[in-house]
Amino acid sequence: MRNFWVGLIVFVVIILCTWLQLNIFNAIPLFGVKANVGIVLVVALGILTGKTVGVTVGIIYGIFFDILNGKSFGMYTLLFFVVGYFCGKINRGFSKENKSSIIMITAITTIIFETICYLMLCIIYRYDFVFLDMVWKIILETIYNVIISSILFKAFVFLSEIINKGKRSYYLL
Amino acid sequence: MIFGGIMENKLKKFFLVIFVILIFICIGLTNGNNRKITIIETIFSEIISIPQKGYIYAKNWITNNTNFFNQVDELQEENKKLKTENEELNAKLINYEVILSENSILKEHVNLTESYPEYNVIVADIISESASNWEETYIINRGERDGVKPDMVVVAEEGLVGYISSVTNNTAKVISILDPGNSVSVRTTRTRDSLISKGNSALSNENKIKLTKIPTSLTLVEGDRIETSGLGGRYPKGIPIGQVETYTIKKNPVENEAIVKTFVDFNKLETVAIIVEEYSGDTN
Repeated sequence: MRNFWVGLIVFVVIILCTWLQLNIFNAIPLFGVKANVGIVLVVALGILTGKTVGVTVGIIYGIFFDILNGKSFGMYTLLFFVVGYFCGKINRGFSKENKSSIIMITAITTIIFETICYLMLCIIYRYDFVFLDMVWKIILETIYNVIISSILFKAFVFLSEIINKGKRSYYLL
Repeated sequence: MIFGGIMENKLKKFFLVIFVILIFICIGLTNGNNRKITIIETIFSEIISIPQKGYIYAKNWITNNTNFFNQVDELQEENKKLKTENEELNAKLINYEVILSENSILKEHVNLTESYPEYNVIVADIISESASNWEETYIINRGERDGVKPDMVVVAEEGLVGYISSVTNNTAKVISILDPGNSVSVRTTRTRDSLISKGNSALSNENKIKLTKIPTSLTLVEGDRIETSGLGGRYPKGIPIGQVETYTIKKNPVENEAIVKTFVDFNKLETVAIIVEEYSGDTN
């Protein structure tokens, strides 16, 4: 039962982040570049709670992102899944209260995520590859994501504590 | 002694009579309309008027105060009434603003429909735009239920917006002409030469697209209007797109390129129309 509530809370958080992305961060771009709250969410929850939650959140958020933004279905789901998986894998090596490491991983993930994303779109949809534009947008998005990550850090720590408590009770049962 | 007493009484009576007579004389003398006030009268009048003024002032003050206290209740009631009236007026004002905004939306819808008389269109509102920095897509509030199908063309009052890429029951996804993966077959209205326009990630924020495959014989001029050519089958011909802003001639003429500023301001786009089919006259 407790697991159900934890799942529900996580789902609500994903919906909330999607809403924030569409209505707040889309409306306040940084020099025309939008933040990606999904990366911040998946990285934070992956690192703070582990592989299972990281992957689950990655897939669900990716599906929402694909439905609402993508030209084709699946690309973002795959990318968010990979982010959730790798961040969940490095979960054990991190202190839960280490804000700077989570911010640093968010920055690195944003750079890798957006580079792969742009290259995939260039290959699939024959985009004109504009290197400088890609670099400029990725730098700005990384800065934006880092700011959001540092603002929402406490909230993610609180959420991860709820999830971890739920997980412990599940293992005890 | 007794004599003295009788004399005193008589004297008193005498003075009394004299006083009464004097009073009567005074009454007689002062009984007139146009007489001057005597000095004695003035002195007496002044003597009495000073405390009288004070008394009247005090009286008025108290009376006015009482009136004020009496008025407080009335004022409070009036204030209450005015407040209620104010609230009602505020509510009416809000309603008025809502009606005004609805009116402007409806006007926009009518204008949009009237802009494309040759087509049957469905007017839709944009409910969200892409969160990705690499894609230019929109979600609109019309779907399969409203007759929207993939590949239908989406326009705004000023010109071409894009096409429908996927549809759900109540929503549809629009890929804009600014999207770097979206190519449109276009032509110039001046020379009627066919070209290809393509979105570019570096230009999309400024509502600009790139023209490629420009024939070497063609010289574009700044301000040349660009519209859909109808080639390729997706977009009907003649839908305005934008006008040439810059034309760059490269060493290799095949690489010549032009930047087109779209007529549609995608940053402020709220309402669009989906071309369902070409209008075929009276539908009766």
